[in-house]
Amino acid sequence: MRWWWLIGLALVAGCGSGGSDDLKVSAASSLKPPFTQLGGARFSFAGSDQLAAQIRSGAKPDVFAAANAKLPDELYADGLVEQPVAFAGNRLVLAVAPKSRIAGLADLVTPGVAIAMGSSSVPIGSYTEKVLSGLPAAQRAAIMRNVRSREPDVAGVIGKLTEGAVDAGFVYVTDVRAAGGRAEAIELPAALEPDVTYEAAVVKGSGHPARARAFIEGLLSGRAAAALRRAGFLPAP
Amino acid sequence: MLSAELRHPLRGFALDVSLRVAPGECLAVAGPSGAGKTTALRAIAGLLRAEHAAVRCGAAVWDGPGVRIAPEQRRCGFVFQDYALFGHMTAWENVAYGIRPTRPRAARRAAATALLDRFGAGDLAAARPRDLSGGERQRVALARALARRPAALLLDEPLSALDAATRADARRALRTLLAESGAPALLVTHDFAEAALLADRIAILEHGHVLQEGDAATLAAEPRSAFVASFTGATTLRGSATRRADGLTAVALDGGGSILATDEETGRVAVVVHPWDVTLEPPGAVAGSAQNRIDATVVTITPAGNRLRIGLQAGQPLAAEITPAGAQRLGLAPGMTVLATWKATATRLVPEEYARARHG
Amino acid sequence: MMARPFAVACGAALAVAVAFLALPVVAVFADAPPRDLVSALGDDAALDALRLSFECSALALVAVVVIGTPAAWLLATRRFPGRAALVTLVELPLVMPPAVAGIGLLAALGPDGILGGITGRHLVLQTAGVVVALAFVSAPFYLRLAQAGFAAVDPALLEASRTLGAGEARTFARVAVPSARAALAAGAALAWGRALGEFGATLMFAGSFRGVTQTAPLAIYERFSTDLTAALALSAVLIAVSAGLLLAVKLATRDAVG
Repeated sequence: MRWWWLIGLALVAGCGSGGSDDLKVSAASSLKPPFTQLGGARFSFAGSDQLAAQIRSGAKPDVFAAANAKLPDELYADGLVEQPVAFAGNRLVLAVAPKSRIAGLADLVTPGVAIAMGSSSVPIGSYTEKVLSGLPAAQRAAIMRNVRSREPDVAGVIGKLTEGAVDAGFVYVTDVRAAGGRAEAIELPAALEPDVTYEAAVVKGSGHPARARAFIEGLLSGRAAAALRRAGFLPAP
Repeated sequence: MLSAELRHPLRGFALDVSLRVAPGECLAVAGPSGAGKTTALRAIAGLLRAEHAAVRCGAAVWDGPGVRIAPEQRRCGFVFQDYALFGHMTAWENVAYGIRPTRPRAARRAAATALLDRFGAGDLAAARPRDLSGGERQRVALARALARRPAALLLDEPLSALDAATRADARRALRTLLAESGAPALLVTHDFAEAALLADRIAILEHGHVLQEGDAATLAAEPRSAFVASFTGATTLRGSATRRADGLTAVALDGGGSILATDEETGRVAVVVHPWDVTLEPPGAVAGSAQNRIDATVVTITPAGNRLRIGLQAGQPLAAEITPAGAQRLGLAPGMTVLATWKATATRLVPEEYARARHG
Repeated sequence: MMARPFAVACGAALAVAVAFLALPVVAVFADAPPRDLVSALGDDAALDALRLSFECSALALVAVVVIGTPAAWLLATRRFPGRAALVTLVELPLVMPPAVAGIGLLAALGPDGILGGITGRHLVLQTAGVVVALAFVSAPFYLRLAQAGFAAVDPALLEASRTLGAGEARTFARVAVPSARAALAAGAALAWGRALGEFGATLMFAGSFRGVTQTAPLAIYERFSTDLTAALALSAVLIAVSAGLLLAVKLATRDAVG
C-alpha cells in the first residue's frame, strides 16, 4: 500500500510546485515574437479581449499586456488592475503574399479577393474597422464584402495569409516581419493609420506585484524594450 | 445425388473423405469432436474453402477443377447447431429470407407461414427468436432451411442444442423435414444414437477418415475396428488371443480373466461385447451354456429408456443392460459382486492393430 | 474483509467523477437568468451559428456514416496484410489535437496543399470546409464503434444468410447492419456530438465568419470576451441539444440489446 501514498504525494507536490515562482504574463498575440525571447516568465498569448475576459472572470496573471489602451483602461476603471502603462506602439499594414498583384487598398474592392481581419472585439479588428471607416462608403462596403474570416486574434489573420487561404489580411507590421519572407507589408495611407498604443498593467491580486512592476519597467527600458525594438515595435507614443 | 470428395489439412491430421448421398436419403457423418465432421459439412456448403474439393449436387458442379460456386449460389439448406436465427426479424421473416425478394411481401409471408405450419410452428410466425423456446427455434430453423427448396440438406448437430425432453419432438420435426424435402441430406453428429434414429446410413469419421459406413445395426453388430465398436456403444475389452485346439479362440484379458470367442484371431485383440448380450447372475451361480463368465463388481446403475445400463468393473470396465425387474430380482446395488456371463458366439474379436494402423 | 474499504473508495471515485463532469454543465444553466438566455438567443448571429452548426454536423455525419459503414465492415470482416496499420491510421484523428488536425487539413486540402490544385479555394473559408473539418475529427469515433459492432456479429448469422441465397452485399445490408445497429447508432451519436463541438480544426481550416463558417463553438468563443450572457446562452443550447441527442440514441436502441 505504501507506493500509493508515494504517488499521491508526488502528484500533490508536482501540482504545487510547477513553476509557481515564474511570473505569469498574459500578452496580446502580436507580442509573441519579442516576448518568447525573454526568460523568467511564463507567457500566455491570445487575443487581448480574450485575456481581459479571463481576468474579469477571476483569472489572476501577474501582468496583462494588451494591444490597445481601451481594454486595460476598462479593467482599471473596474478596479481589476493597477494603473496601466503605455509601453509600445505599432503600425497597421495590409499584408499580402510575396509577389501579390495587390498593391493597395484600391485592389481590395475587386470581387473575388479574399480578405481576413480580426473580429470586432479584438484590438486588431477594431483598429481595422477604424481604418476602413475612413474610406468612402462604397469602397468600405466592397472591401467588407470580400472579408471571409473574422479571426479571434492576429495570429489567425497572418496564418490564413501564409497558408494561402486569403489574398490579404490586416495585421501589424511586426507580424509581417515575424513571418519572414512569407508575407509582404503594404503601407496604409498615413491619414487612415490609427493610433496603436500597447498598454500593460499589474493585475490586482497578483502574487508578485513588485516583480510585475519591474517587468513592466523592463518593457520601457531594458532587455524587453530591446527585444521590442528588434521586432519592429515603435516606442510608446 | 450429392457427392463430395474433400481433402483439407486439420490440426494434426488431414480430412480425406468421399461421401455420396442419394436423393431422399439421409447420411449421418458421426464421430468424436475434432474428427473433421463440421469441416466437411461447411466445405460442401461452400462456407469453407477446402484444399481439394470435388462437390457435385445433381447436375450442378459446386466445386471442381477451376470451378468454385459461392455459397449463396448453392441451393443447399443449412441448419446450424445453434440455429443462427436472425434476432432482428420475426419467425416468418426469418423463413421468408430465403424466398426470392421479388415476390410481393404478402405472398412471401403466406409462403413462410405455410412452411412454419408444416413444422407445427405456424402460430409462432409473428414472434421473435428471443421469445421462443429451444424446440420452437429449431422448428423455425428447419422451416427456414426449406424455404429455398434446397437441392441438398446439411445439418450440423441438429439436436445437440436441445434438452433430452425436447429431443423427441425435435426428432419428429427433423423426420418431417427429411420427408418433405426429398433432397439428399447430410447430417453431422457426435452421438451415435442420434445418427441411428435419424439416418438411413451412417459413416463413422475419426481423424479425418471414414472408418466404416453402413446402417446402424450393421455398425453396432459388426464393427470393423475397436473405435467403431466403442463409438456404437459396445464394450471393448483388451487382451491377447490364441487359437485353441477345439477351434475356439481363447483371449487372456488384461486385468485378469479369460474368455472364449468363435472369431478367429490371434495376437492383441479388442473383445467387443454388446451390453444387451451380457447376463448378470449372482456370484457362484450354476453354469449355463454361456461360455464366458467373469466376476465383476457393480459400479453404476443408469436408466436408459426402459432398461438399466449397469456399469461393471472386472479388471477392465464392462457394461450390461438388464430390465429393472431383473435388477430387482438380483437385489442389484453398487459395490455388489455379480457374475457377468455371455456367449462365445456373441463375442466379436477385432484385431487391435487394425484400429491403430489407419491413423498412427 | 478487504471489500468494504475498496467499495467505499470506488464510491468516492464515482462521486468525484460525477461532480467533476456535471458541475460545468449545471453552472452554465445556473449562471445566467433564463430570461437573459432566451433573449440572447433571439440574436440573429447566434441563430446563424446554431443553424450552421447543425447543418454542417449533420452533413458531416451523413458523409461519415455512408462512407464509414462499408469501410468498417471491411476492416471487421477481412484479414489482410497491413490491416492493423490501416486501423491505427484511421483512428489517428482521435488522438490528434484539433489544431494539428486543422494544420493537417490545410497541408492536404488548403490552397498550397497537396491537393490544393483540386480543392483550393472550394474548402478553405467555405461552409464546405467546415463540413470537411467536422468529418475529419468525428469519423474515427464512428469507425471504431462500427468496426467493433460488426466484429461482434455472430459469424453463424452471416453464414446462414449466405446459405439462404444472399450474397455479401445483401448479407451486409439485411443481416450485418441490423445486427450491429446498437453499435452503429452509438458511434453515430458520438461522432455527431464530436462534430457539434469541434472548434480548433474548424477555426484553422475554415476560418470564422458569421453565417458561413462561424459555428456555435466559434460563436461562443467570440462572445466570451464581450457578452458572457450570450456565450452562456449558446452553450446552454448546445448542451441541451447534445443531451437530447444522447437520449434519443439510447431510446432508439433500447430494444436492440439481445
